[in-house]
Amino acid sequence: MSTIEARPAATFSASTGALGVLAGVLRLSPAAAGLACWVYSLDRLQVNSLGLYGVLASVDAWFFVGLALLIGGFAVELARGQRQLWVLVVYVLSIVVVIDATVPLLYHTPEYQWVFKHIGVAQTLKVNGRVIDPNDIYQAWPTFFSVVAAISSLSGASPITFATWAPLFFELANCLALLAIFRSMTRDSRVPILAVLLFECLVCWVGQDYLSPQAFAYLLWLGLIGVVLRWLSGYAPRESSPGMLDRLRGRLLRGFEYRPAPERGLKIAAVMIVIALFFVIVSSHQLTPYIALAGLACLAALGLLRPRWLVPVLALIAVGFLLPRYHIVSSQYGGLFSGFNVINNASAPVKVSEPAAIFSEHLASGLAVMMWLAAIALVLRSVRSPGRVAIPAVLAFSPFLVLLVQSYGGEATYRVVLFSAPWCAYLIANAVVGLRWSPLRIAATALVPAIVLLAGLQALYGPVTVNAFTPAEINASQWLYGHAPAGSSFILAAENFPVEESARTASYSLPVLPSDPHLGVGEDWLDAGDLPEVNSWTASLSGKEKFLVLSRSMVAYSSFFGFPRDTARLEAELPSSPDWTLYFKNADVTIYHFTPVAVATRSIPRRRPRPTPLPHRSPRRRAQRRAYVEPRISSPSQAPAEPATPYVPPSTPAPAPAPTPAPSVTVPQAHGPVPTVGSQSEGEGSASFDTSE
Amino acid sequence: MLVGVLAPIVILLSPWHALGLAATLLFVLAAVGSGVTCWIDAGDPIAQAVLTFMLGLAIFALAAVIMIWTHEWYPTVLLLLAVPTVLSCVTRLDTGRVGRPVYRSKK
Repeated sequence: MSTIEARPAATFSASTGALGVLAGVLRLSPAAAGLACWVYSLDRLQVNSLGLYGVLASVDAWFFVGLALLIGGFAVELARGQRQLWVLVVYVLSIVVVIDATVPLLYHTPEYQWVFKHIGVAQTLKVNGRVIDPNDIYQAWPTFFSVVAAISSLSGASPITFATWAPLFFELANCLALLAIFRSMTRDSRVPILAVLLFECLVCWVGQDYLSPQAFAYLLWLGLIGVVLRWLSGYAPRESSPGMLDRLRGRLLRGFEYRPAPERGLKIAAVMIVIALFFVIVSSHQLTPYIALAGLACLAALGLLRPRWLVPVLALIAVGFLLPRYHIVSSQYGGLFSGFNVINNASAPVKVSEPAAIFSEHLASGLAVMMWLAAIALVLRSVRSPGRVAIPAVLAFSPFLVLLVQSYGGEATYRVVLFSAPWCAYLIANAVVGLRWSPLRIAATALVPAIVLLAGLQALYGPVTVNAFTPAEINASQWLYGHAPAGSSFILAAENFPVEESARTASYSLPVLPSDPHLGVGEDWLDAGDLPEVNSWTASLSGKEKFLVLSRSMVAYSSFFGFPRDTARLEAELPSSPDWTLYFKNADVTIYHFTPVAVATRSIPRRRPRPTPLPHRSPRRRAQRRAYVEPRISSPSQAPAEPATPYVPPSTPAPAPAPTPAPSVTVPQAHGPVPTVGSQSEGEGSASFDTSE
Repeated sequence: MLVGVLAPIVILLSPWHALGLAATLLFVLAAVGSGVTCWIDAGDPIAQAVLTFMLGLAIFALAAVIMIWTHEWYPTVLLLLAVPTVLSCVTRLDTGRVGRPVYRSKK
């Protein structure tokens, strides 16, 4: 099944003449029709109508007709005797476009709150030209952010622009890399392209392809594995007297088809390329090098990786880079070895309670479990000649070694799924193609990807109202960074708002209203609907000025996850409160400035936490944000006395008199674009969100 | 090689950010790595393309991060990666003419 050879036998049709191309184009008509149906359905979809079950629950039938045409067309083409690779590639790429371009086309903004943090780090490097805070875990692994900063500087485009399309870019690149890898693993021309499609369907829900170091490192990891499998793996060992270990290896590799070793120069070049790629991975992301090392070490242990010294050299690079930065990892994740409890490391740090969130979570975990069960069954099926599946099996299950030692802030499971999926997809594709009864094979080629894709898309698009942001929200964030004085606190009513995208992020603090028991506030969570308590807590913060941000995405967040509650009551009470002044308003965001009249800071009565914790797509980010939350005061004496002077926006010609500044002092905007007021930095605060430098 | 020459010109002269972004991506993904892969025959056009863009990405990333680490942040200097790329490709074309071997996968 898994035969390694220097070059795959080309069994695709070689009809590349004009007639062949014309025939190929005709065979692409289902793809064109499918894409047209998809675009039509998106055009008819109103973003405001999206509910808690996301895109699939709101689109009309044309969306599904489009998907059916794409997958059906792919299956028919794959079943043809004279199939053409480029036609199949177009089908797969079209499906990837549907998966990853749907949300960008609906919202026109980057998805996920933590992407904006990445943009902020890149902006920081771009503006300052160096690492500002070596103890910041992002800046300590700066390679990816340097690339983003360099591309932004050279092109003049803001990272927000290309962050929107980063998932599509990374997935298309992953497809190409995987196709090259799979083509080096089998003679059957159908398996690689089907495996690529299955991979995309299996991992679409993971959502780890946004503008991030892990997506970048994952792509490079695929390149590294591609070089290893093509030139440094799978050729026969030197003749030697077999020891016990060799006999064991011989049994495990029974049925393995060795191939001739490449010429020496090519081998040296391949080793140098692997080392270079690995160094870039090491300096970009904290976890990826160790998952890569686990796979390579297992291959080396089986004698499938030459030279064997490559693994120790790579380990030396990884450890050498980590050691000077170990204190950062230690403070963030409790060290390299956060515990040897696999169950604990694999489990999500929080549980969900809301039906929509539960549904998405069950679909995602069901997909992952089914993928691994199928892979295990297929490996066991080859027990008589395990060498036939040795490489995919090793690479599919070696990522689990990471779970032995690290939870990675709850993200380790996502990483294991992602690194395991290509090889599981390869094993499944091999099994599907190997079905002897032709109608069953064709049906399986269409139905397996279709079912997996629908489940994955629901898990991906389910929380779209939470994960996606509107241009108005980004406008508001940029406006705030452009106008609030340095040292201010931006209080988020819920932890879901596009912040930290500015190079000046470090000048502001981002406390989150502790009305969500999952923020790590323990039993001291706050009732968001109790305005005096909110005032008291706000007064206890040490920021120069304090702004409370309420947004559409926060409401969606609390609806989806169940917390924080009573945000709506807070929003209703704030306009009539003398302690809060409307500072900014647009279609999706309202920002209030804290202008206390006579707020006494006091300790907040403790409440029992509600039992259901909250899920989060990136608990790592949550943990980092937690550091920004100001400590709750326990007695009035600890509360810093904040002057009750209202903040006056820079554009205001004359200071507004305290104590109750009129709304006219603020810059309220009922709807529409945000005005550009005062001096701007790095292009922030423009009417449409910053897309140029 | 052609991309290595044209892309920097477009990047420097482009009045539109979208065009500049496209040219930058083309430069990184298609040009920079070709200076190395022109000497290697991967035995598969898709593998050759993948190796080119992976190497381009890696070389560009290393150059960018070295600038950050050394506090010498001049992103435009990254366009000078075109020089060794073009030189390498020209040399490869030249050696190809006189029939010197290149690294290739065994068929």
